[in-house]
Parts: sequence; C-alpha cells; structure tokens
Amino acid sequence: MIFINLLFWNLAKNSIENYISDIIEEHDIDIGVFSEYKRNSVESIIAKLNGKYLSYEGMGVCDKIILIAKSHFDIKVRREQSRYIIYSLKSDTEQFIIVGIHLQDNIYSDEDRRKIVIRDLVSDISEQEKILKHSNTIVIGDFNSSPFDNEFIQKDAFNAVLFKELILKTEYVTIDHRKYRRFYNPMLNYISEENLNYGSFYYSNGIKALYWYCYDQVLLRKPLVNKLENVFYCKTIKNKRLLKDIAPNKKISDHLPLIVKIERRSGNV
Amino acid sequence: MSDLWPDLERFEGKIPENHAIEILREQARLLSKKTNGKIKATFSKIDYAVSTTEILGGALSAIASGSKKEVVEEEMKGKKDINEFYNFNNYKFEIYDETYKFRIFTLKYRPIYPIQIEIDEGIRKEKLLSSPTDIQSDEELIKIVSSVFSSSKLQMIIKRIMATDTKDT
Repeated sequence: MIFINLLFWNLAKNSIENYISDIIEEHDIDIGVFSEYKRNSVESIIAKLNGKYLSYEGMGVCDKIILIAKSHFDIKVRREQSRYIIYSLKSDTEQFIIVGIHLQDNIYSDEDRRKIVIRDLVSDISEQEKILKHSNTIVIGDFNSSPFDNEFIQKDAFNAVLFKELILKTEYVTIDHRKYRRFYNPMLNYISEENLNYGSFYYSNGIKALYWYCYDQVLLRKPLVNKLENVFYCKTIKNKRLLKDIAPNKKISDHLPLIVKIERRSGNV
Repeated sequence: MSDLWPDLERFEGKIPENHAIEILREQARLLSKKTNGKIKATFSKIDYAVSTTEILGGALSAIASGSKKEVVEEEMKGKKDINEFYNFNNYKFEIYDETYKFRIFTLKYRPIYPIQIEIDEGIRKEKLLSSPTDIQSDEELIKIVSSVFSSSKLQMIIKRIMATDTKDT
C-alpha cells in the first residue's frame, strides 16, 4: 500500500530547523503544515531538504500557517483568512484540498470567537469543493479545542462526527431546513494508552485538567474516511526525545507533531 | 383614559440615511478599475443556500406538525411589516483574482444605523479597531473603510496578488 504522509506541527516560534528536516525525512512526509513558524527558518529547512521540497505561504493574510511539500506537487493557495489557508493540491493521480488552520487559544479568546472563524471556514471549504469538483478535503492544524468540544460537534460549526459509521451512513444532516455536511474526526479512535498516544499538548494547571489535550487534530471528508491508515503524535525524532519528563520539551516545542497517513492511488504522489 | 403618545408633530429626532450598500458596491467596482482588472472586488449578501427539496420539505413538515400561523386582520393584509428595517442581513466584502480570494470584512447591515462591521483580524489589530465595530453614520463608515483600505496588511496583500498575476502571465 502507498500512503500520503501529512505532518502538522505548532513550532512555538522556536528555531528547530534540524528537528523539522529530520522529521520530514524520517517519516517521508509529503505535506507538512506548520504554525507559529519563524519566517527566516523556512529557507534553511528547504535547503536542508536538498531541493526536494518547496514552501507555500499565502499572500500575507495568514501569518500563522505555512505549507512545505514535495516539489512535484502542483499546489495553489486558493483562499486565505487570518486563521487558515486553503490549498489545492494536484498530483498526476489525485487531487486534494488541504486546509491548514490555527484557531485562537483560550487565553485571548473563547469558543464563540473560534466558531465565527469555523463557520467562515466551512463555507469557504464548501465553495472550493464546488469549484474544484471534489471533496478529498483534509483540515489539519491546531484547533485549540478538543474533539468533543462544541467547535467540533456543533452542526453549524465543524459538524465533525467521532465515529466512521455515522458519516459513512449519512454525510449530510438537515436542521431547520438547512443542510450541514459532516467531517470525520478520527482522533478519539487513535488516542490510546496502549500506544502511549495521549495528545499533543500538556497542561496541568487549574482546578480541572485533562493534562493531555488533543488540540492538534485532523478532519476528513467522507471520501477519505476509509483511506485513513494511521494518526499519531510523534514523541521522538531520529531517537531524540521531544518530551522532558512527562510533557513536551518547550525548548523544542510545547506541542508534539501530528502525523497522518492516508492511503493513496499509486503514482507519483 | 390618558393619551400616552407624545406630540408627534414636534418630533425633532434625526434618522441618518444609510447609503452603506451604495458606498461599498462602488468601492468594489473601483478596485477593478484601479488594478486594470487584475484584482476584482465584490460586496454581496451572504446567502445561506437552501435547496428546493428543503423548502418543500419545510412546508410539508409545517403542515404535518399543524404549526400555528398568525391570523392577520382584514385591514392589515397586504401591508409591509416595517420590522424588517430592524433585521440585520450579512454582507461580505472580498477581493479576488483567477484563483485566490480574501474576505476583508463582513457587514451586518440594515436600512437604518447603527450597523456593524467585522474586519479581518490582522487588519483590525493593525488599526486598533474593536470586534465587531459599530457604525453610526455614512461618514463613520467612510472613515473606517478608508482606514481599512489603507492598512499596510491589505496594501501588501494587493501587491502580492498583483505580483503573482504578473508572474503567471
């Protein structure tokens, strides 16, 4: 089986070019989406990858997201707002819509402000799916919310179901005469004590804490649901630990990288 | 019984005229002219698409559920409900070229002021505007939109789109 390998990593504005190029090489990453990156690091990363990758920023609207991908892809920035960029990606066998996202965090914002962005994004994704005539759509990034939070489960927000069976049976739901299309959120299926796959962000303060939070996630449209092979948070890169004690090492990043493997058709992807 | 109504003939309150739609549609048209058609702008209503099937479905389910409808007196029939003047509709102002689109702001519009503008986060922070921003008059709308259009961020975006267009041709 052949896979398309995606990476998302919130870099916390740290200069960790070696870690980034190493993880891309180690996991043969086809598409890497990064947030909280340093602009002057990007050229260094591309240089370390020996010309096999190119970077794609937007037009300056969204300074939070950048995409790095293997150079044989045909990639265009289709739509951009402050918190997300929508890319179209073409290979010789397949097309994808890749959305890189970094929603507002809880210190400066709340659920309602994130939902304003989400509603705009969902509308923009639908528009691109109509224009590009497919819905091989992947939304990946730092959502600053958990899979069972309202931002995900609310039908007029992401409308993301946690179980495959639901979206495979019914892709659209109708509420008050309006149709809402579902996403599949696979994160709960892959969070596991057995695999030591707990989450991407560690926070233990306050009177209530989950300790491990899955803020970095991936959402898929129905056509990709049965092609999903694996989702995991990476804890080492070429045998270098990304954790300090129990939590992510903040000198590297306070987020662990997220890796997603999706089956693809054979060809040069 | 006392007459609780004020003296209506002596009412001096002014209701500012709202030309927001005309103002912003003209600005959308002007961008294309300024960029020789390379970048266009649109100011349009944000519509929620509802299919015919759903409209029919809605009507049928209303009948099926026996939902109550207001009974209108004979002398009221055919009269326009002026409450519509107080209902907001959402509009968006976007710039675009062949493949790329960016929404600069959305406007919660109604025929009378105040109305509300919600500006892109980056531009809003640059201009120190609140989210959303209330607008009380045409003059205030013009002032805010001028400020948004002259923001460094928007200028940079427009330059980059123009540069991309030049590279691709």
